[in-house]
Amino acid sequence: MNIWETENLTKHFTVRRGLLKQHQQVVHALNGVSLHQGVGETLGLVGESGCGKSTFGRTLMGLYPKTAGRVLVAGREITGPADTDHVLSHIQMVFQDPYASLNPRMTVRQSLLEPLTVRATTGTSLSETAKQAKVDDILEQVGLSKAQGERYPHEFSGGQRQRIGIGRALISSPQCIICDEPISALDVSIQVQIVSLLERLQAEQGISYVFISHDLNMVRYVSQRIAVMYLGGVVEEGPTQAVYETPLHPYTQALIKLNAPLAPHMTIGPVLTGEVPSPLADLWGCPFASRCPEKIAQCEEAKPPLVVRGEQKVACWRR
Amino acid sequence: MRAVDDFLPLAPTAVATETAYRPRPNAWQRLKENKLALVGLFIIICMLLLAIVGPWLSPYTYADQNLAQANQGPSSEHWFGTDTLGRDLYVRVVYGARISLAVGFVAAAINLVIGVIYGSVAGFFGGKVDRLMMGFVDILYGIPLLLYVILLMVVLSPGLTSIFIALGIAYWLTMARIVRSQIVTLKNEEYVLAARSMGVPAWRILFRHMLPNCVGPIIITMTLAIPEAIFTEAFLSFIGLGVNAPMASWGVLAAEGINSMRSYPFQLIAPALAIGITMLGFTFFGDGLRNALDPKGEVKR
Repeated sequence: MNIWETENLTKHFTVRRGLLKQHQQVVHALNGVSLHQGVGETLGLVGESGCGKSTFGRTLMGLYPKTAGRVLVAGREITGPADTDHVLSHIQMVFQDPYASLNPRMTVRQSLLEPLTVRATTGTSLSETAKQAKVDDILEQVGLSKAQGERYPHEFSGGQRQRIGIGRALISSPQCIICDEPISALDVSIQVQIVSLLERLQAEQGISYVFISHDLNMVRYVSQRIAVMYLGGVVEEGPTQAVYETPLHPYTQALIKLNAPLAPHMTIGPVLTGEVPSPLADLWGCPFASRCPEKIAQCEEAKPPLVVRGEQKVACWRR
Repeated sequence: MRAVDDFLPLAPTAVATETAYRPRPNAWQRLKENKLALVGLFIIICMLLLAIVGPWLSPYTYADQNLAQANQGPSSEHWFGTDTLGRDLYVRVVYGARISLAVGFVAAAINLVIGVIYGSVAGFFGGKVDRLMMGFVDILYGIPLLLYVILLMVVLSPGLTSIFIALGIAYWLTMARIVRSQIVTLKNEEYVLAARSMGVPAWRILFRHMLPNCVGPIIITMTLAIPEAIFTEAFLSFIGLGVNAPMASWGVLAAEGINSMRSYPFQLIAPALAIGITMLGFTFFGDGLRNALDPKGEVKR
């Protein structure tokens, strides 16, 4: 049973440029992403900046309206804003920047209470004391005291704030939490804290995570399955161990060889020279062709589909 | 030993240490700690009280003339002296406070209600709605206030009502622009996206998440707008479009005082001081209010 499933999920953003906004351009942020997630599973989503990882998470949650494709959450097809409540009661999100993702004028308790107050499915039926009790419970789960609940976000450290962010996602009792680079803004010692908190919650409550990150080692550590994204599409997907031990796609191979967190505009090892194509361009061939060491003529002509190779799936003509 | 302890993730001791907790001072308590804000509040309340009961404390009325006692300096009989027509200046100043303060508070109310709502709606919805609404504001901005007032005088007679209407047309524009630009910036904040991801409805995001974060600029604009409105009324009265003689606002009194500034400076000093002290009161209070409403404001330990 999958918690969610996407089929050819596509998201295009329209940008208008020029003095009179006369030039319309389309940013192909997601080009037909098909992924799914099982109960209690952690799916790692890796890729360079701008490859559409965050866009995927947000489109899946319905924060951005999708351009094309299908999204199924807990067996129900999501068609429009009417289904938002259904999606949000199953999927919640933890944001990247713990300093920006909490309202500075709301106490932690108010922030945590809000999902219970505004959404019919989570808690409008609960009495005021039951809501408060639930907030206390969540505070305890993420390792904060009741008294700390009366404080404002600026009184907390980055790691504590990220725990509040996790608590806020947790209070809707979701089955899946999308962690959008939850640790990249934190110190290494605090990163461990947050990851172990996530792991504990998973062990206790069977929550699934979509773990979006550009830190390959962290993704390897936390996830059971990995999807590697490049320019709005999945190039390789499979069980973590298989992907790390026998990477099939040249891009994955280069990433694993590099063995370091990805930063924007870095050259990825000696193999990967060349430019990342602009997501504004219409691409015919394989998006990776411009940097691929194993490029053949076919790569320029048609985009390779994601095909099954053993446990893994890969999008490459040469595999 | 210590280095090892630091890296223990979520150790139970680290969780349980938070015991000493003092109840957080609320906005009013924080305001009370700010002496300058209290002084401002005191000034405003004094001015209001004076405006209400002040005229009764003197045997004269604002229109009583006594040419035999014209241009007298301050004395026990006439506390602030008399003007060129022998009218008691104290009564005229406290009576003028009624008009000037009314203008100030009406301007503040217009700013708060129309300006904030208009600006936040334009900023929040963005796109075509924003362009239309702000275009309308730009057009209104382009027409000088004086023109409205003169046109209004054609329809209505000069007086407080027309001043209020003129303020109603013109005085929310700056506020609308400032609130709009704030909301546009806040729309991209991650906590607004987070609120959406929790299913918070649009109106609640606007009023619970965005507007409270604009309180600073709103209060600053308002503390500037109140004195500005009082001065505008003074100017309109000065050119004869405001309140009618013998009624007096601070602006009228100051204008009359200027005529005899050399020979009888007290006639200018009394209304000018009243205007100045009131402005100071509003500024102090507004500043204190902004700090008190900001949870990041310094808390005295």
